Amino acid sequence: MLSEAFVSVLSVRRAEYNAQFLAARRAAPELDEEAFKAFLATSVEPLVSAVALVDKAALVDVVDVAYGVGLELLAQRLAGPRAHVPALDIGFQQLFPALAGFIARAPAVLLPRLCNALQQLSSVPGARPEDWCRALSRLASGAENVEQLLGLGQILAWLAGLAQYRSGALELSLSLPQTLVSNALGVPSEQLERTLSRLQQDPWFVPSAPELGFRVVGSVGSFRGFGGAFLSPPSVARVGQQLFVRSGEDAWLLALDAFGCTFHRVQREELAGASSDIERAEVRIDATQVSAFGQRLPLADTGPLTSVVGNASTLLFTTAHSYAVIVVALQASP
Amino acid sequence: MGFFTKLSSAPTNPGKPAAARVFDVADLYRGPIAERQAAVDAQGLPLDEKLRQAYFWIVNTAIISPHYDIEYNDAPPAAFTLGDSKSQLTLPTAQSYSSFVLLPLLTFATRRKCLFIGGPGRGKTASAILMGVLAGYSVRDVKRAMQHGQPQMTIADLLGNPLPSDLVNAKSMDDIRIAWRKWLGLRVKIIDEYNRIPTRTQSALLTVMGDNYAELLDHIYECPESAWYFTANDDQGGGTYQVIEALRDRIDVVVQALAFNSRFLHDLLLRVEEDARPEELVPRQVIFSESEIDRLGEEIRGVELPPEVRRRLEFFSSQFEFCEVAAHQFEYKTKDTVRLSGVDWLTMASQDTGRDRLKDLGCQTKNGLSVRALMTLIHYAKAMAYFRGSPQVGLDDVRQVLPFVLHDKLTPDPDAPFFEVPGNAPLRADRIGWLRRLFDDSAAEYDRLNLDREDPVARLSEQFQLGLNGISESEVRSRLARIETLIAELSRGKKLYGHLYDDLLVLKYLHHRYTNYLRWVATQ
Repeated sequence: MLSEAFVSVLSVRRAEYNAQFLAARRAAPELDEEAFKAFLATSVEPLVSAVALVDKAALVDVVDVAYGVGLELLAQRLAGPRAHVPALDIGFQQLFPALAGFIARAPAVLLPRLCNALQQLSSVPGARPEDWCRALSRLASGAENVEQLLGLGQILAWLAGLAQYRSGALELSLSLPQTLVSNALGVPSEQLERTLSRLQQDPWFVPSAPELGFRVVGSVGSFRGFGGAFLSPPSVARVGQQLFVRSGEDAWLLALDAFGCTFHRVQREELAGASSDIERAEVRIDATQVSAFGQRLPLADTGPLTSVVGNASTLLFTTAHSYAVIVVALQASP
Repeated sequence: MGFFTKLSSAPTNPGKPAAARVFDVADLYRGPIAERQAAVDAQGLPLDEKLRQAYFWIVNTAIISPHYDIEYNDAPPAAFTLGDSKSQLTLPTAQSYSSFVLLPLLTFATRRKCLFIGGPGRGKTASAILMGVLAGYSVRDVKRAMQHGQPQMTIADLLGNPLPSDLVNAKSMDDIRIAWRKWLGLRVKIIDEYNRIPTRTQSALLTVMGDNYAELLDHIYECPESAWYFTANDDQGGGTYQVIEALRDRIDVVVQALAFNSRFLHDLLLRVEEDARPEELVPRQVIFSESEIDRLGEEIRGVELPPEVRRRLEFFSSQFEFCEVAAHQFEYKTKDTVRLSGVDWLTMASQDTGRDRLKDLGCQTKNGLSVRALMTLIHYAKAMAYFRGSPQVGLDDVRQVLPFVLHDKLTPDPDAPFFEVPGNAPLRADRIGWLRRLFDDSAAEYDRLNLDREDPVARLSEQFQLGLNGISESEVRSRLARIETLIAELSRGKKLYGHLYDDLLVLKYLHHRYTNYLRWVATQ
């Protein structure tokens, strides 16, 4: 059931919207009219209703943009009843109404960007788009303008698993209001400076659990037949501080920290000069345990080690009976 | 209407990612959904990328031209043989282009002259108008400035009129003011159906085209550097007037508007239903300012033409001018000598019996290549490489632009034995296919002669290019002896072909320069 506000905008802009739909369907014949109607009713409606409450004057602009964005999303099956993942619909239904005040101010900037962010979070294995939506909804009121909101979104995306944005997000933390950043990181404002400093030094530092230290974090990647990336057993290597995984003819750069791990495909040539050694001499590993800093961590039995590599902060290894890459967090260098 | 103004996302010609990878947190907000605001401003884009964006907007949105006849391959392409005539259909493996869009766009970038040919209603004029809009003019201005060829077109129609009051009161020619036509000041000039312009008016047009100024009653109007677009329904003399040769010669590329593919009728339907005119919806991000067009030209000229590509181009161009029976004196053994003499070409060609006329590429043409044609070829080859994001011209770039540049420059001899060979008859009509084949055959001959590795004439030329200062008399004599030995070797039992003729003239030139130097050294 569409709200009165939504119906009034659709009536006023009927000719333009119909023409837009027709043009979009010519470009993407799979665009389904019923699916698009359902998307408008279930996903766009909550946003329109929320905007109607905060700024009626912005309604036409918001609907204009949401309508166009919706056409693009459905044409690519990123939203609507035939979407591969529900993240974009959830964003429209839950996150966007919470941001209605900001969206009313700059719909043409915010809606495409937020949709792109949600699409990216939902397409990266291990990332947590729901966490991002919840955190952004909760903390948005602390942003004073659209730029701050977008900055907050970038920090939260890193914390929601997009590890490749770690350094950019940390840099951004220095330019945003302290309260906004400390709320995002879940630490009191007075501890922010120290927390940021620790985060800069140690990718495995977790502000809410600072004592974690040396530990087996878990495993990343799996056999392609089970939804992973590897077609053949992987091996690990490094070039300087950058960590790589190879599997057959494919290779990836790993961006990983306490909040997530992302794979980025690289050309094999980029691994020229790669080494398979452990940078820190105090770290020892065999098939049953990894030891360092006066501690021993037992390892699950998945066969003999097939490759091991370590940089200043992280140890990676693979074993004969698994397609996974095991990640061990090392203590920050003194 | 958003569909019509949507641009391809950059980069349109992606290369390999840089080895040093830097993740930008701003990428979080980039993705499949295009931003609505005009904030996606292409001002910061490199100009080659902007040019590619313009191309892809035109082919994806504005002009329905599913003909990818400029084919690039980075791996062997899949090829299929079809029909009784064993036609080849190849599926290119690298980014390939539609000549009907790309060549006019390169003309725009290099500010040269392009002729559209093809039947009525195939989008020739529409494409020319789009180029005007890319230069920043409104559709209305472009349409108003377009010159429509017609049998009554006078020089005044074309250039302008003297003010009537001045004609009556003027004491001298200087007192007569001229109302110049506005189109002369535009940076994109369109002449529709140029072969319907009377011959006398064509001559006035030639001055504007060739020398970039208009003259009327001793008054001069200096035109800005412009890209020119001509259209003709029939380029083979089917217009109302024969196009004067000098004017034809000044046209740099010829592109053919290919037939409409009926499978794309749905796109036409969309335009009818939407009442959409793509030329009115050109995204402002692909509109070029005057300074950007200037910069485009500079950047294109800066693209390197490597020596190995230049050498193959030299070899190709050397094939055509030579005509052994045209004269006794060596320097005049050219097709131009025959042309200037007015002797019947067929009579002359029939005397030329000494060589394998099938093997000799020069026998396929009635003329050679002019300096202007070669300069144009270099310009377009550089523009093509630039468009593809390459810092230097590749052999493929030359191969792809060559047929369009030489379309009207190299005249085939339809009576040549080559066209009698089974399977070659269609090349009498297919000028593009013939020229491409000509270039391929030339490249194959170049490889067969192993000229990349063994080219003694090139070595001697390079040696001479280093200069004569300080060269001793004995060294000069040694070089002269080497030249004479080489000429003797080249003449031994060999038939004379175009490339050999050019080489011999170069050797004679070098010999003469060294001889002169020797005389000078002797006086010191």
